[in-house]
Amino acid sequence: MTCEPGQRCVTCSDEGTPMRVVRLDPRRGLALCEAERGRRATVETALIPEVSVGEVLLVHAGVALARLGDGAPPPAARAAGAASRGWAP
Amino acid sequence: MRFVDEFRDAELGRALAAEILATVEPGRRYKVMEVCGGHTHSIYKYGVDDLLPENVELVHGPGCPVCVIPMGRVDDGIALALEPGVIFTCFGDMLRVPGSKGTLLDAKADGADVRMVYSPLDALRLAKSSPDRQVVFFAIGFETTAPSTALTLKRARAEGVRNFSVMCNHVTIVPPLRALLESPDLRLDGFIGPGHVATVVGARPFEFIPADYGKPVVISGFEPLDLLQSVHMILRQLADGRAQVENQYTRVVPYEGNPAALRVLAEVFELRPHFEWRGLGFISQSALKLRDDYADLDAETRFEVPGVRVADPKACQCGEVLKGVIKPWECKVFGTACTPDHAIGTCMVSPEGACAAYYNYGRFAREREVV
Repeated sequence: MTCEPGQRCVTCSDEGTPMRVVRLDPRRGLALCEAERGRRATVETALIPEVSVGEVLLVHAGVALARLGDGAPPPAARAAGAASRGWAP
Repeated sequence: MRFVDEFRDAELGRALAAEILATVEPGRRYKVMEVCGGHTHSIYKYGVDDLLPENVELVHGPGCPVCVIPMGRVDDGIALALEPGVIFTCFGDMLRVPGSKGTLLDAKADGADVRMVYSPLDALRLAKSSPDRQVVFFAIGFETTAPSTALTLKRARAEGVRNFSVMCNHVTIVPPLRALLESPDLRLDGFIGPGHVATVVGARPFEFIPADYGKPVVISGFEPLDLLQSVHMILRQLADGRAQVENQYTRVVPYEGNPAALRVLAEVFELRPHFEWRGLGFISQSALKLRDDYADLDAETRFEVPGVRVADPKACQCGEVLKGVIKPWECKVFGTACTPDHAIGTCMVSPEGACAAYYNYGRFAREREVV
């Protein structure tokens, strides 16, 4: 009924879940998406233009808020050579 | 999964920790506030603070929306839940937040129809499948969550769903940050900015922090390497004598935010003149209400809401924890009278609250040797 102690509430607060688009329903503005461990959910895509199957969206409370990988790696990541491979999208 | 696994790489984490160690000035103490409850949770879950030098301290900020809901609003929610014919819906961790006479779970035990949802859209679906009931959604959250509520209200309007309404408790992040920065007992060197709020509002709203207060801000992701890199970027700014907004979370956050989300927020919500924050008191223009165009979907218009005001419990020091003045374990009731199972303060109720995160993951970390 409630969140498990020690677990993060998956929708509330500032949680955002990366989910891969599996199927699209453009007419209703919805997408079937899959999270890290195979959990699937229907996601509202009204806030992201031109969503396509296979890309990864950041989902919060049932709504896609961003498309992952749009940005360039930050300057500090490039400067910190040891860490640079973690930031290349 | 791509965008997740590569940000949990232990080897890279150690390399970043070494870079951080090389950046700090020996003998200088650094206090960095992570604004967001999600960051607090990740810091403890992955032991990020154990990788930091002893003179770099992470201070937990007010960015858990459950933690900042005052008891009076919980009482108002319970009053709505007890209305005949109402199905009261909310996110999971709201259920255990204590009001002055109990929690929403207690109200459920007393016969109220209280249900947990994962999205306001679930509440709307419930309304459509229960046309003879009134479904109320208790909306909480910062600018990250508010677009979801706004889209749900637009759908309710478009589909003509009349038995759905929202009790709006959405809050905005900038006013409490400004209030914190004005607080005379606060000593901070920089901020780890809230990545998911910035997904919606962008990085620009945080520019007042370096401009008006001379402190660096780095918008950060939520994986352990994100946090380590953000700390490194803040320390780099301090070492260079710079103060600016930088964006570590570029794989998600455009500097200008999400224009479509900002449009939908502006269409559905307007700022309240003031709103009460637990531990921080009333803060001007720090919360959202439904615009007059959506008043018919506003639960506070549709139902009689008592408008209860309740003082925080005396033993509870959530306010000082939220301001970063004390660490969770320095609260008089932490881990004794106040635990996740029997919480007095909201910082212990929400899994993203600083006290719960510390209790669940970091209770014994103080005794461990610092790397």
